[in-house]
Amino acid sequence: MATITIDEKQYTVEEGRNLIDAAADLGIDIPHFCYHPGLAPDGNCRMCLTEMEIRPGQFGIVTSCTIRIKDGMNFRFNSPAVLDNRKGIMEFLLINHPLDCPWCDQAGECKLQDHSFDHGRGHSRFVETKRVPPKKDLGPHITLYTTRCILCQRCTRFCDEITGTSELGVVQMGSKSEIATFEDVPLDNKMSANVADICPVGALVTKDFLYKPRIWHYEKVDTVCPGCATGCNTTLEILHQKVYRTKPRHNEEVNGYWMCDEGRFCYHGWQDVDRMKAPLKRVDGELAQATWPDAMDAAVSGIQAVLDGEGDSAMAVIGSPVATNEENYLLRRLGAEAFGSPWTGLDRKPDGEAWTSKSGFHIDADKTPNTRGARDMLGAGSLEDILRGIGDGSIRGLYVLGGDIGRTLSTEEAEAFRKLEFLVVHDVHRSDLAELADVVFPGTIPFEKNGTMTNGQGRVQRLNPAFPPPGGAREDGAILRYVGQRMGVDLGGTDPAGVLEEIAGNVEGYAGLTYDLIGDQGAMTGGEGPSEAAGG
Amino acid sequence: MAAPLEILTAPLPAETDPGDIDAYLAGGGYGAVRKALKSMSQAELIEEINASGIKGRGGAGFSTGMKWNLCADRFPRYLCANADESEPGSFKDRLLLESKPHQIIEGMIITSYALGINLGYIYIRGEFFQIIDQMEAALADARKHGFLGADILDTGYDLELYVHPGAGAYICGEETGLIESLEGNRPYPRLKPPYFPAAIGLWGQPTIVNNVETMAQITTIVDMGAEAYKAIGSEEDTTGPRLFGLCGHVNKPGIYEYDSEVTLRELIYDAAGGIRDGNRLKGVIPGGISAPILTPEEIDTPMGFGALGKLGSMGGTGGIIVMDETTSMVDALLNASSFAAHESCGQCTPCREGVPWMNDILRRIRNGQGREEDLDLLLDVCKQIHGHTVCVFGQAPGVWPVRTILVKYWPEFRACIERKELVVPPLEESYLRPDQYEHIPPVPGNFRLKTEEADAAG
Amino acid sequence: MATPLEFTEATRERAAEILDRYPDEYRKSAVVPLLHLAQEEWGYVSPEAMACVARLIGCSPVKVAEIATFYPMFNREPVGEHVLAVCHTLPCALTGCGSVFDHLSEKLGIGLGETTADGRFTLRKSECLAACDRGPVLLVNRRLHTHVSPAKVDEILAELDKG
Repeated sequence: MATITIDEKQYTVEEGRNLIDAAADLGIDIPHFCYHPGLAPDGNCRMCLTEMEIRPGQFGIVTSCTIRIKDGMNFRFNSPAVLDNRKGIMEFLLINHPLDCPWCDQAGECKLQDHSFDHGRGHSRFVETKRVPPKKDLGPHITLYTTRCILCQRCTRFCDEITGTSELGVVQMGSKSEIATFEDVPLDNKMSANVADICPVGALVTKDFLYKPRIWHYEKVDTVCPGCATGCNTTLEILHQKVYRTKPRHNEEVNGYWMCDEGRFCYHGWQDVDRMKAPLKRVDGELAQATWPDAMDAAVSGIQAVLDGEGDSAMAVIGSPVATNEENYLLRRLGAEAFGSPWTGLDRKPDGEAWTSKSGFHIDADKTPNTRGARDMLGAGSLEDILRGIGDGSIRGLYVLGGDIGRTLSTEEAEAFRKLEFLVVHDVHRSDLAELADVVFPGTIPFEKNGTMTNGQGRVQRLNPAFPPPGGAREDGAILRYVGQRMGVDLGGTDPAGVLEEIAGNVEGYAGLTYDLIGDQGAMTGGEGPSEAAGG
Repeated sequence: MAAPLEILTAPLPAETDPGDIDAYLAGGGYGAVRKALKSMSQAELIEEINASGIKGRGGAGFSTGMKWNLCADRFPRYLCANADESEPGSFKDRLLLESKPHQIIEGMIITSYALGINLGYIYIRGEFFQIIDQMEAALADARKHGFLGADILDTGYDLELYVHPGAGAYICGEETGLIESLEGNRPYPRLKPPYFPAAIGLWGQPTIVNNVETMAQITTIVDMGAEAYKAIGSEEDTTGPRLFGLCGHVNKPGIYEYDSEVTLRELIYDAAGGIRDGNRLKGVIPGGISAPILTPEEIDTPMGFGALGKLGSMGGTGGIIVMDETTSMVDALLNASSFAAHESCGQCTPCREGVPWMNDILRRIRNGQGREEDLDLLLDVCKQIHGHTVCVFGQAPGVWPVRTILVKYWPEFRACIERKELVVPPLEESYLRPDQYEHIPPVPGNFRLKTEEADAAG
Repeated sequence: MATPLEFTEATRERAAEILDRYPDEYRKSAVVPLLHLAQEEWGYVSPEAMACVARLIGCSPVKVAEIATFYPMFNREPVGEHVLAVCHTLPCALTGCGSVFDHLSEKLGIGLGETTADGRFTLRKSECLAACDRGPVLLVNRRLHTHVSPAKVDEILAELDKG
């Protein structure tokens, strides 16, 4: 730790920390544009200039973004020289900036707007003609409103330092400088949309969030991306029970400041799916809508018929890598306690492509968020075991946690499931699997879930529900509990924090984990402490 | 009257090709390299340069010995000779490059040897086509004669020097801009600290960036010895011969070699034959376009870095632009400002936005559309840029000409605004005398004119 | 983008020579000299030429575009057979570069940055060419002409006409 002086007051801060970050830790905002904690400092915007004592009694102007804290440093954050510079920089940045805040998508989260409010002069002394460079389509996700750009170069540095793909550059010289791509090489990499997040103004915008409702209308919910086993920490922006935007939430151990485009935009897939809003039960060979009591009766009697038939353990359960730890844990208990079954399987879809960025940001090949957690909850069983069990006739009934909209059945799987005497499925739409079921319970998509998931590195992270499930759909945990209850097994309370407590007592590696401990940054299983950072 | 010198400007024998290494060797060329590599240790050489008292000839007047001493103790180290001469009014480097390529190469070899450098580049501005060709040939000849390459003069010392061409950007003259350019990046100057070239330079290694004239002078120092060299000029103003280039409205424009005690008046009226057509002097820029202008009353100053600094100006590159009474200072400043606006690299906000803005305002004034408040606005913009840029170039060609020409020739700018057209008032009415404005401060700050109108303007 | 461009065999050898001047891990240092080479080969630096240089260096093409568009010496469009650049910075302005430019413009019938219809001449202004004692100066292709007057412009143009 180091003791530093800011405006004649002493503070203790972390030695070696960048001055902007150190000040932020103290709750002091040093205005800046080009500096971003996820990128190397560049010092080009000149907004963060402060005064530092260079020789005893003598202060000089320095860029806060490049100063590393050492013991005894002495700063002035509010001297006339510092304040005058900010006012000057604001004027310079605004002389060629359009006054289009009323229709700019950045309005409300624009650094230029914020700092203008705090440090601007309130009127323009610029009577010359503004530069009006044309808008550019940079790639599949990103548009550049060139007029708004302040050339802080966060975006070019992102593509150089983080993705290593270097699609963006600054072309031309001096006041004609512009951010650009090269000819037929668009800004098209796996993380391209992050440039819109880090753009401090409304220059880089995602096409996805263009002309959407104003940012102050949204409710923000912190959760975890369901796109792959990395489990990037995210914040969803919600309005009228719909996600409008996903932004990465900083977690140094997982995703840094970033997330991939696929994860960012995957909310469309989940949201655009034709959701099942009531239970279904098979009547005369066809699936038909049913009331919850009807469907529950059908499920329980169907399961009971299988259990009453030949064999010791004719019912099996299959957990889901898109369901929470708590849901999978309750499923295992249901299987063990209500069905008396040793059979647990985990549904797995084929791996996709893995990718690691220059900075170490990792996209997992496993395109489901909770394979590791589900496996921990369910034990060692695999889908193949279950299929074999069906094949040799030892499994005649199946209870499946579905819910992965990207999952389709192979011919072999479909054939196996058709052999079952009775199939109960939780799902969110009429999937391949649901079409084969005898009873389908409408469950939740990840954005509606309240609970935890364990990412590929073994970090248990919390999901918070952005909105309730639609229509007659219900939380999967509650459905499981109801089925248990109907079969004379009490699966306990409905609070995921309580279920986690139970998990901590029963599942290896989860000892000591609590909802509070996990907090908003997650906690490692196995008491291993923080693992190596995957974020960059 | 100061005596002209003929050290760097010593004429070549008639009919000699300046690039001809045989002619250069016949005249004792590469003697300094032999002396340095064969009879002096690295420490002795560094001490010799320290003792000579030479200040760099690139414009900032920084002690060359000190620059060398600051070189971090890491290897490899690199050398960059800066031949990106592009400060308007400066043409001394061109003269040396054209007439003394081998003397420059000698200086580069000696410098490299002294600092344990094995690879160096001479960064020559791209428009110097013939100079680049000649330098490439001269380097090839030096290599052929064993002054470059492996085991130079059987001393076991290896050195490679190459030409690196620029492509017409003024910013590459800034030492860290030059390094970025040499690395193949946009030549954005680096933040100092931490990127002082002597500590973290080319490809992250300690790098010495010296002006080509400085390189030629190193040869001279080794040739004549620090003692004799130091006897020329003064410690404060820089030792050794200086090259002054006179251009503009003088009768005999050209390069003149003196020590730095020569006065500006002597250079204009004696060396360069006075003002054309018998006209009177209106103003003189004493060290390249960035150097703050001096009015007729201020020319009895020695040309040393220290002496000019006391007047609020600077020695700069020694390129002296003389303007007679027919000159429109509004036009002159607009020209200087257009240069700065064109050459701003665009990296940092104040220079990228502020310098072209000032250019727009000045163009408006020149075109008869100036407003009452424009002059104060210009000074305010100067203040907002000054000291806030990544490199000194935002203020050198960007701010200094504006704030000094504007303040000193305030009445002429006022006349232009009041009469809504370009006017060149009679000389007496065009500028303020030194007691009418405050000393131009070397640090950021606005100017207060000691005139009623300035008081009224606040 | 149009068909990829490649240097001729002779130019490739020169490019290799240039690349040899820099440590192997810093090939990007050669970008400016290679762009000069490209301009010699094709007369101007087209996007295809930038891509060619990027392939030689092994970097993203936009990083070459960053350089090619920064430096004024690189032509972004085809230029005339002869490029005439009048220095217009202060010392040359004081010695009458304005009349030199105007005379050239009138004789050639083109304005700043334009090329004659027959493709023979492109007219430009240049910043200070560091020959201020010999102004006004005019850079014709690779050759610097000093003490240029309207009369001398006529001589220079006549000489160029002779080829």
